[in-house]
Amino acid sequence: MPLAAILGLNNPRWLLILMHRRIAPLHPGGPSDRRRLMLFSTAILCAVSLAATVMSAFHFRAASNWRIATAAESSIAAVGRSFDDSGDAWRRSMLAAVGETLVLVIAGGALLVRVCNPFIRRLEESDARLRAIVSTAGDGIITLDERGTINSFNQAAERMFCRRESDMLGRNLGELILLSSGLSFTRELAACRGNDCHASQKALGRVGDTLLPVELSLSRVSSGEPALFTVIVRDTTERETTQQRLRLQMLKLEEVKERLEAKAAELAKTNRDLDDFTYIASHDLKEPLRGISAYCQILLEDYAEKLDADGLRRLQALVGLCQRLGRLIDDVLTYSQIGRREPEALDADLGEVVADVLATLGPAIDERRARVRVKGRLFRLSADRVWVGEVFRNLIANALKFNDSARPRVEIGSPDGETIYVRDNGIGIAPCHHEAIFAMFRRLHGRGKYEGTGAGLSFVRKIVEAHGGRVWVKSRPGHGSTFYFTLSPGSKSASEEPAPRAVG
Amino acid sequence: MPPKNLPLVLLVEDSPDDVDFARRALATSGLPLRLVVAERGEDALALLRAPGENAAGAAVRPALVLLDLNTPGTSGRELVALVKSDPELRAIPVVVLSTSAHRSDIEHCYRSGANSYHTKPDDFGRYQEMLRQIVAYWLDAVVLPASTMVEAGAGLA
Repeated sequence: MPLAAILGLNNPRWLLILMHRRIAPLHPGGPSDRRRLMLFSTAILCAVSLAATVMSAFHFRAASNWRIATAAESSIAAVGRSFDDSGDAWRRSMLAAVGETLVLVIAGGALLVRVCNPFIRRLEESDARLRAIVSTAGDGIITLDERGTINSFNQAAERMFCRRESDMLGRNLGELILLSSGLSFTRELAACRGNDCHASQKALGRVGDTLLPVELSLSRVSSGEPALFTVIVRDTTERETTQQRLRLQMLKLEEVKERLEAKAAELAKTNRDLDDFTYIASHDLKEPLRGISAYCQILLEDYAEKLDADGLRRLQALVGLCQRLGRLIDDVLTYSQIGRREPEALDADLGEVVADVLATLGPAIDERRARVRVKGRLFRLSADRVWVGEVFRNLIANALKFNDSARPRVEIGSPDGETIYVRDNGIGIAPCHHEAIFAMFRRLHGRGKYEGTGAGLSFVRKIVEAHGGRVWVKSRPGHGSTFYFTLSPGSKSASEEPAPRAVG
Repeated sequence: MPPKNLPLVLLVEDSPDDVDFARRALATSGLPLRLVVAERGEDALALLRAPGENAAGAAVRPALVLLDLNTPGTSGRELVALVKSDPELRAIPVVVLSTSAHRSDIEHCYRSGANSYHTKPDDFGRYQEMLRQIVAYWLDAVVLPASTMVEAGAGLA
């Protein structure tokens, strides 16, 4: 308490002595004069004590407080003692009582101030905080009485409606806002009982001559009388524009989607038409080819002795070419047939399908002294049995055909119940050909080395894709090949496939 | 003059090449028969409904009809149905030859009453062999109703 110490308030007794010494000699007189002087100095002392107490209260020092209070008391007692010569005992005791009361009042007041101070300070802080929030809020915050008269109007509301708070106080909010419900504000407020009467309702705000789309949240703040309401106003212009833009975008997207779907349907139809055409064309091509082939046979059988060796050889070559053309046409027929109908979706056990295929490939497997095994159990699915059989037949036949090993090995499995693999220890395929091998009639080797038209893998891909699946290969020359395929859409991507292993 | 008392085989086929091949196949088979060719379905029907007579005046109907499915006019499909729904003709065996292995074609022919359905092999040798087997079966292995058979020498005065 440095200030009080400087003023000497710690020890009011010397102040009193000072006053006695200075004042008493100046006014020599009777006892009444002295009494007046005593009362005067007591009043000064009390005022000083009170000031000291208030100051100490604000400095929160209970100990020094108490010291001042007791010092004041003893000073008053000293003043009382100065009456001794008058022998006025009752006056002396009364003065003491006044002194005691004064001390108690001063101490109690100081204590009250001290106890309430933090609460007052906190209240002031929270009030300031609230004011800051309300004034800096992005939303308009308006308080109303029950008739809709405006009590306060924050800065955001001022900006939103281009009005000053001072102009709006005492006016009705109905002048500014039109409720979309068409009800007047008074009725709306009368209906408002709970904390949040309307989670949000759309309304229009009047800004000059234009109307602003806004959203209102109305709540009753005090339940007593008079009622107080707050209205939070949000400018929804930007949101509405964004929503409108979004709606437009959605419409455009919908249009694009429809166009794409129409295009896809058109493409599917074109593809089917193309397959139909290919089917009919190749079917019709076969007819004359059969004739050519038959005449060649007749010539070979009936006119052999009339031809020389060259003639016979060339006629033989003609028969061979006819056969090859026949196989090509057959493949085109098969390829177009896959596209001409939707695959049947019947319950198929892939284990059974593979067993059937292996039975038909039996002679080829025996001839190559090959070992074909199914690792683990294959799964069941809804698919076209015949076509899926074709996939396995082509892949297994290829695994046996493109295989220079003395003991070809083929392994079929599906570790994840979704992706199926056919793995061999054959000649392998260079990565640059991994995509090309699935093209129609694509061959990587001379006709003399490996037989076939090069259509098998294109059937595989067309069938797999007709089921919504994919087919791909992992292979390196000299390290065998592993063909993977799925038979349903949404299957795993190539990056998640099971790691390939060479078959020993 | 060819002998008239051999069993008649009616070939319904519009392609002269195929007629040639069939003739050759049957000629080299050594089976005794007489081949009659109708190019269109209507011709075949007319021939079946107005049969020729043998020397004794008895109606002579084909013992076997070899039918190419893709004939012009009255199609092969219709012809099978017409023959098999005619009480006078339905006893005559009708064998369908086709390049189509289409399920609906096969189904339709059997439902209409065709006696058998064969797809023509692309290989000429196999085609000839198939024709020989069919004809041998129906004319030799099978006993047919008298109305369709003309015994060699029978009915000759």
